[in-house]
Amino acid sequence: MPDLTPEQVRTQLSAIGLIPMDQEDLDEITHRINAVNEAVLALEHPDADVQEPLSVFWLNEEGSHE
Amino acid sequence: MNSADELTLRPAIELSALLTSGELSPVELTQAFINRAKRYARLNAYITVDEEGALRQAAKAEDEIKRGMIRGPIHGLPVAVKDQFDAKGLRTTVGSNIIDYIAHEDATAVGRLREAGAVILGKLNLSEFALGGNVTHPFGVPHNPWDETRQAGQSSSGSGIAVAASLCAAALGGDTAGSIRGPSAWCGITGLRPTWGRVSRNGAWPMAWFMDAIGPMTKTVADAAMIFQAIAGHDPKDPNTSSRPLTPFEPERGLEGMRVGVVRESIDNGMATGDVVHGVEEALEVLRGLGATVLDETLPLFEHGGLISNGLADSEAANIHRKFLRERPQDYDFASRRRLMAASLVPAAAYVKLSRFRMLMRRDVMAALGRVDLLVTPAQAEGAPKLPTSTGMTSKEAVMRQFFGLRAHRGPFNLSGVPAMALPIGFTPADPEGSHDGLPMSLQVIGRPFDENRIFQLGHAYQEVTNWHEHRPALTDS
Repeated sequence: MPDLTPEQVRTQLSAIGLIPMDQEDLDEITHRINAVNEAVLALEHPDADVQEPLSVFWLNEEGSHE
Repeated sequence: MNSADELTLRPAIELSALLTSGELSPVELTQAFINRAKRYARLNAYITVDEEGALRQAAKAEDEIKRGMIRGPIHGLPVAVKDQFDAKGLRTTVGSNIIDYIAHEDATAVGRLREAGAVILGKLNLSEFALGGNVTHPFGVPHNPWDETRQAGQSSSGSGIAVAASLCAAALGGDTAGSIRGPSAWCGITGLRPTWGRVSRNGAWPMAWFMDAIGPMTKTVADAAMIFQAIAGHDPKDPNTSSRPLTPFEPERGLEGMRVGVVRESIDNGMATGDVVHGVEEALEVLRGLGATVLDETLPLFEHGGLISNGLADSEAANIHRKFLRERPQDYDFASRRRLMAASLVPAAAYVKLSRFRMLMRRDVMAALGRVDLLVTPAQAEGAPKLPTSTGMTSKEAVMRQFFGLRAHRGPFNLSGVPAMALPIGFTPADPEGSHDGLPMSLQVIGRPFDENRIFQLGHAYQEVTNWHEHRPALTDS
């Protein structure tokens, strides 16, 4: 996946009502989102496609299973 | 140093014995902590010191204790709480330029401290909105008491400083992705992140809903167990708290029969400095001497803990902050603003993938904790670094190295919702330039869900035969 350019990042931010304060802001935001995108894309695991993405561990039920 | 001041250097458990037996006045002790908080105000540990309110609470505690109405072990004990948690009648700022109000109610954890008779000294400094990573601080840059040119850790920085510098007997911190364990490690104290759902988050400002945890930051493991017992348990105001009963921690001698797994990925291949690896190895020798069996363990996804943890937590935080980011971006620290704006652009597909990897990480952690009783890693990969003047995120590669790497040692366990504790295990070599005599190093001890007492057992046994927890930073009055 190609990196986003600062102008693409500015456009995406603008679409959700966010405005960087200056060019330094925009540059760093661009580095940050490109880093996340690249790193997430590179994550691999044999079970990644079958694992459900639960976000809450149901604590009371857990106790009887673990 | 007068005798009252010397008392502030003692562990909370010792102060508890003196207070509840009537040998020590809560008022005298509270005044001693307030005096120290003022004397070392340059460390920027506190945002609010409630001198009048604390002395009033202490006088009430003194009266109750004199009349034999002892509420429990922390009756009359002067404690302080991270300014992420509401305390009735006191200002809440969350370390920001944006939030500023007087709380009408206590956060549940704070209220439970009060009900148990603790004296609330005030509110402690923190990284802006408990995010960590900010460079500027509205209430002053927190300074590490072991070397004031260095960081105290993020985000419960004030809690770490206040306990290490004896500006309170114990503190509450909040840990989303390491914010109790990190500052505890760099400040040389004990800090427990409880099982997610053990301690109510009611009245706490959220950083990331499904990882936020509140816990004790203290001088010793026994102190941490005592504070944990006071704050943990089901709360109807936080439906995700567990209703499991709490079992009081009963110290046992030795670790005979305990199986401790060292997560190899946390120390191999340069994942921690040589000093820290050496410190961990020495700590493991102590554990073996106490009867524990030390085994190698593996978490194949370990190196991705920082990415998964930060990717998820920041996406939630960005949603929490969306309104303020739109309306008051100028009021954020520049590093926080850039981080939250970037996190606002994380694609939904990436968030879902990270959520799946979170579960895979948890599966690995739970499998390892099925083979051993406890896991250990370094709590921090290095001693506290110098205070930053910039984010250093000048390239995509720098973000990957610094931002994802920063929380790599703690991320796997907050992702998994399991309890984890930072335990002081010694000091790095002294700085040749003389700014410090060595920086604290720390072991992270990880347990099964709701098995905090086993973590306490290991930590307490370790502290019975070592004295790292008895070291105090040499603060000057100037």
